[in-house]
Amino acid sequence: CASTPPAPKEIPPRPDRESLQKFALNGRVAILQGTKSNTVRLAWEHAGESDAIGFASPLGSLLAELQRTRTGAIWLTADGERYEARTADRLITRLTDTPVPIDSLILWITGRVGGRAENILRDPFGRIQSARDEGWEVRITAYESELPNALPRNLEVEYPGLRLKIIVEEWLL
Amino acid sequence: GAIDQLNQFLDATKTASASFSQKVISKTGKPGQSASGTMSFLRPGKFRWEYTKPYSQLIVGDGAKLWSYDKELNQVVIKPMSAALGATPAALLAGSNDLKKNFTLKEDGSADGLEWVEALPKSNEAGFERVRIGLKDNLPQAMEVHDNFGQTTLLQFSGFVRNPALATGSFSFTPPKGADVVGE
Repeated sequence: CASTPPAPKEIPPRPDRESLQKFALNGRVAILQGTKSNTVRLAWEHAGESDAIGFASPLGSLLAELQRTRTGAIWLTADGERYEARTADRLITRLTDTPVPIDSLILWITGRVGGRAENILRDPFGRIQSARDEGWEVRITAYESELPNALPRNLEVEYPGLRLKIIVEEWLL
Repeated sequence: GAIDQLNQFLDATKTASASFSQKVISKTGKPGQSASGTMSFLRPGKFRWEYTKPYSQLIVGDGAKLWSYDKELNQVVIKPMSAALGATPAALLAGSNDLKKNFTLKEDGSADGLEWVEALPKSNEAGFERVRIGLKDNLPQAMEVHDNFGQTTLLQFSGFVRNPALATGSFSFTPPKGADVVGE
């Protein structure tokens, strides 16, 4: 079953994950895909339909930021370039080559899957452990605690040619 | 002034080691992630920057390549040395003459008991907008890295030892068995 980390520092009680409209997190992501593989820090602020996803160096200096609102998305880079598109999924290919479904990633990173997900496996606490969703293999390998509504700490999502390993160090709700 | 202290430090220091603490201040002023660890370097061009809290991540510049190993992600990323500056300020302090060649240095007054120098990269490939280095007794005590998004990383050094004997192999890295090795 999903391994849970050593006694986590005081984790505040979590709301029901289905009701999560707003969250912020700090963590790291390993991007595995041929030459563009990399490990970057992740700083994500989500509120309703808008997102600010920062990709930073180990030092915390932002390398690029993906901003998304209901009307469109922008990709900003450290050396001043700016790219706009209707959807964020395409813009993230500046980092990942393969489009990543941001709406699905929001579900996965909070321990949920979409309505069409299949092969859903749950752990003894009733939380999603793995599933297949929108063509992606989703594996949540650790939760922040053993509570039923605990938020994920480690997850891996994989699509042919691209694997993302994400560690959430800190949830800010 | 600070530039003299910096030059004195660069000229008189072949090896160095110190502990560091790092705090990221977001553009909205909200304190972000903080981390700490140890660093050492061997001039010119070799350095070791190791995060031990809250996670384990090692960055080694062996003079030819930049290795960064994230233990929990079990991934080693290999990059050219040119990517070093953006990854860690140790590269700045350990660089052969990186500072004088690739940066414009300006006296930036004194504050918090330190004399400060501001270093502006001459190219926009450095991955940050500018760096401030605070010195005392010809040793860097603090650094501020201002990125291109208005975010600042504050670094405090402690236990700075000048020219210590360093373990051989401090500046070479061999990926552990089973780790994903990516990059160059």
